[in-house]
Amino acid sequence: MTSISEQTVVITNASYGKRMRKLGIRLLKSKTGLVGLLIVLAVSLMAILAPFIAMYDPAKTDVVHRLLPPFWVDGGSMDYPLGTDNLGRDVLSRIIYGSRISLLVGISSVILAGIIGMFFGLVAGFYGKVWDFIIMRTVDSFLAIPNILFMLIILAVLGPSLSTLILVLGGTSWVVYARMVRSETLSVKERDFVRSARAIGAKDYRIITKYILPNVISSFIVIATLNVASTIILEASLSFLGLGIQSPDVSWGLMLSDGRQYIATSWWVATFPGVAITITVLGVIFLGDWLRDILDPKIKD
Amino acid sequence: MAEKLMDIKDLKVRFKTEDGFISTVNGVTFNMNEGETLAIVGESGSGKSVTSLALMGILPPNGEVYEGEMSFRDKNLRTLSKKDYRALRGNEISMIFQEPMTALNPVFTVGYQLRETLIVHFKMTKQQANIRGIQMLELVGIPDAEKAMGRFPHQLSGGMRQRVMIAMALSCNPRLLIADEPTTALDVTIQAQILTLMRNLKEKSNTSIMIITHDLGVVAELADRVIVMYAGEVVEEAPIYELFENPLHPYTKGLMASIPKVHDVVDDLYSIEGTVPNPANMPSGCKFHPRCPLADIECTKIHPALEYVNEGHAKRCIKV
Amino acid sequence: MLIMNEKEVAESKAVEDKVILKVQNLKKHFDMTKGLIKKTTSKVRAVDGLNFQVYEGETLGIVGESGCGKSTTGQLILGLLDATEGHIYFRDQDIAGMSQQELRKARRDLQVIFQDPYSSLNPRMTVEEIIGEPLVVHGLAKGKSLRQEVVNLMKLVGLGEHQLKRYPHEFSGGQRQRIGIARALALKPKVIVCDEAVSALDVSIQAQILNLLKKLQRELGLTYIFIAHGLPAVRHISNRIGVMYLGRMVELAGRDEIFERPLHPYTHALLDSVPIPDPRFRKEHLLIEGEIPNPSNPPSGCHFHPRCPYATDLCKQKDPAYEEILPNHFVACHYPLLNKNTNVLPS
Repeated sequence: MTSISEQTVVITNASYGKRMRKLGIRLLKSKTGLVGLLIVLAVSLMAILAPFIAMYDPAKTDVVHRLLPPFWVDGGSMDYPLGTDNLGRDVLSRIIYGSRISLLVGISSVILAGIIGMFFGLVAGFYGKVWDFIIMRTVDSFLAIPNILFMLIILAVLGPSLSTLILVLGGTSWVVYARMVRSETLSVKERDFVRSARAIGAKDYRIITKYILPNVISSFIVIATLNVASTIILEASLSFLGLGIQSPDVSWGLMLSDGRQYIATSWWVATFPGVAITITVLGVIFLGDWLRDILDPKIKD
Repeated sequence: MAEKLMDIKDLKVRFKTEDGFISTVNGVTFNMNEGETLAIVGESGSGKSVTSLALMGILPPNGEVYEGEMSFRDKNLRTLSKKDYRALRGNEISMIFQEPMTALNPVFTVGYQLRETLIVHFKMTKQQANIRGIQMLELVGIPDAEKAMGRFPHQLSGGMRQRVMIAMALSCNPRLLIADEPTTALDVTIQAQILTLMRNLKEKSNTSIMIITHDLGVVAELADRVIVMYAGEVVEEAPIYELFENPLHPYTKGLMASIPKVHDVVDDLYSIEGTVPNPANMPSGCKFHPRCPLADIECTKIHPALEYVNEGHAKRCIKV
Repeated sequence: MLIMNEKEVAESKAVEDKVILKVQNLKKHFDMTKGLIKKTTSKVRAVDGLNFQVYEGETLGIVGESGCGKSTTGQLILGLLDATEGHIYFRDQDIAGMSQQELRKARRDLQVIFQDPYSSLNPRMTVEEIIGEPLVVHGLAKGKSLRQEVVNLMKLVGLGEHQLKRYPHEFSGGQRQRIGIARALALKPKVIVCDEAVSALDVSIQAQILNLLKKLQRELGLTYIFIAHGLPAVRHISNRIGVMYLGRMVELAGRDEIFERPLHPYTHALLDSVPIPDPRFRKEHLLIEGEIPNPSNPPSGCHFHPRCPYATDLCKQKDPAYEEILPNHFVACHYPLLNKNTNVLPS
């Protein structure tokens, strides 16, 4: 048995350039990974270039053209390819602008949560003892409270706005990262290269930043990517419940909420933002799964 | 002359990887007689374990035998159906591994696992199987065997687990027992116990033993005959005394000179330079030539055949 | 054999006045905790009262089976674990009582080589960074001089300059162990603890590393504490060998003396268990009954008494003292095997 694993080790011993090329080939081979990457790139481009590709101002109301159906339905036209909502706003333009908020909220709250979670996870895992106890019990109490309820209460007290939304989303989801980083830290800490760093006389800060952090970061990136997806959904839920993004800003969740009343008569108002959420989340998940596949074996060797 | 038990001719095994097929066993030929203890010696990457897995028909899913002949008694192993192979593994060939914990099922008791084997293979009743199981555990030197039947594998020490593995492997009276590094994971006093046990079993029963190891000490203790493997090939084959007194192949000689010996302390050990070649990128000619002190230009071109110099002693080298 | 024995005694006398490391009544107990409130349920006495000294320039081998505490001893000496009790004097300073800051300084003189060449190197650092790390941490070199120093170290252990920028996974086990040795040498230490340094390597590679360690010792005047379970390798490299059992040193003597005249019944059986790679010396091994007891609940008196063929009531009750029974031959046993031929080597 040993000889087999030894050989696979030898086989993976390729030079750096060759490895990068291999990664590229793997991405092309993994169809879901490629689809995920393309979706995420497309949505990101859409968000960045929104002012140039959107045909209308997303907030501009036009009561004359309210609730127009998409172009392929009777009464629709290419002037409003995906139709208009109850205030006559162009659904396509709103989806394009909405991607900005959805991605902004998704990514920045994940970054915020990631930084907090990474910090506490490293401290708990590395120093253990009292620090570990305090941090992990805090994590447990966060996990014991229903997430949405907790966020709703805070948002209701602070009042909804873009920055509070990011703060609330980041401030509640850091526990996931803290747990993960802590357990990874515990296992990396026991490996001999960390012991050898100590034996060399390296200080804690150096051990954490040069030895532990680089070895937990790949699992962290995978989890963070997957969490962007769930945060986009959370944002949509909160906006749908009216405590997220407020008009005149536009987000996919808010559009869903607005379209709810018209779902029986004008299905497109709520359907298209829903489809946008689904496609984006799927893309991010595909990308995350692919990252997991390529980053995980490296942790092991 | 003892009866022939097993015959392997020009066996080749390859593995499918991202970079295409990689061959790790490249034409292995040897045979075994009834009642014989054969040791296969080699370092990691020599193909010794893969050879035994191929023989047992339990190669990993990405591995396959792509050339050669394997026969066990009168059966051709290469054309054997999956069902017949399973029967063969249960009844005639058994295997014990380096780490018994991975081979024992952690959620069942030792007794349950022993009884299952006996009930399946000998159609015994539960009571019969229980009695036989206790006998087997006593045979391998487990104290208080009746109590041990009720234990779970994790409740036993490493040495006891290896004994249980041996008891399970022997419970079906196999013709051949394959032991892959059976003592490598054990402490040295426990290793002595297990080696003594295997030596006694060898004397008491007519089971043939194939022992796969990197430890020449274990080889010297147990084997009747030895096969030395390097880079997926047999480089030397000889009866035990002959091999230790008169090793021929430079690799065998190097291996013997490079191990520290408690009874013969030298200042500096002989060392074989370099490392085992990568199976994806094998040297031309003789596979040992880049590390061989005798190698010359001829060795880089000619791939030597395994030649017999006298009865039972063969070497794969053109220089000796 | 006798001649070598005398030579060795002479050697150990010559260095006797230069004790570099002295371990006194060293203890390390681990608390086993249970439940939410971390109640201490039992103590594992991993190291339980060790006394020995290491002479400058020698190799002291420490052997024993799993659970004997040899690796814990190594980590205590390196200051990687805090001692529960006792002292470790390196020259005149007590490592066991040092603050973190003092310890960092002391570590320049005490280095370590680990067993597993796959886990002892940070997979995210290049060879240059790994070997240069000790110099960077202690601010001893940077820029060009750092690079030069790293290249020199690589040459010293048999690696080439072209390998500077590679990552550990691009190397074989033996080469990785060389990288680990180069890192240990970077600070020009006096003492190196080799914790199973060759146990994970293939036979032919093991010889390369053992030879390298010996060469470095000759050239740099290093002192090794060579901790291993592989007895032939320990015998090959050590000047003196100590045998541990359940957290205690049971015997310590010159490397030939201990094989030719083991005095403790455990040492006798342990050394006799080693298979000799020569079929002419096939023999019946002395078998010790039973298993190594759980170190959280060691037997009373002499820890070895339940498995010892010579044990008496005294052994059950009283802990034997660890004493120098013969010159340079220490043993902890009430009934040392003085009048018995215990030579385990074949003649």
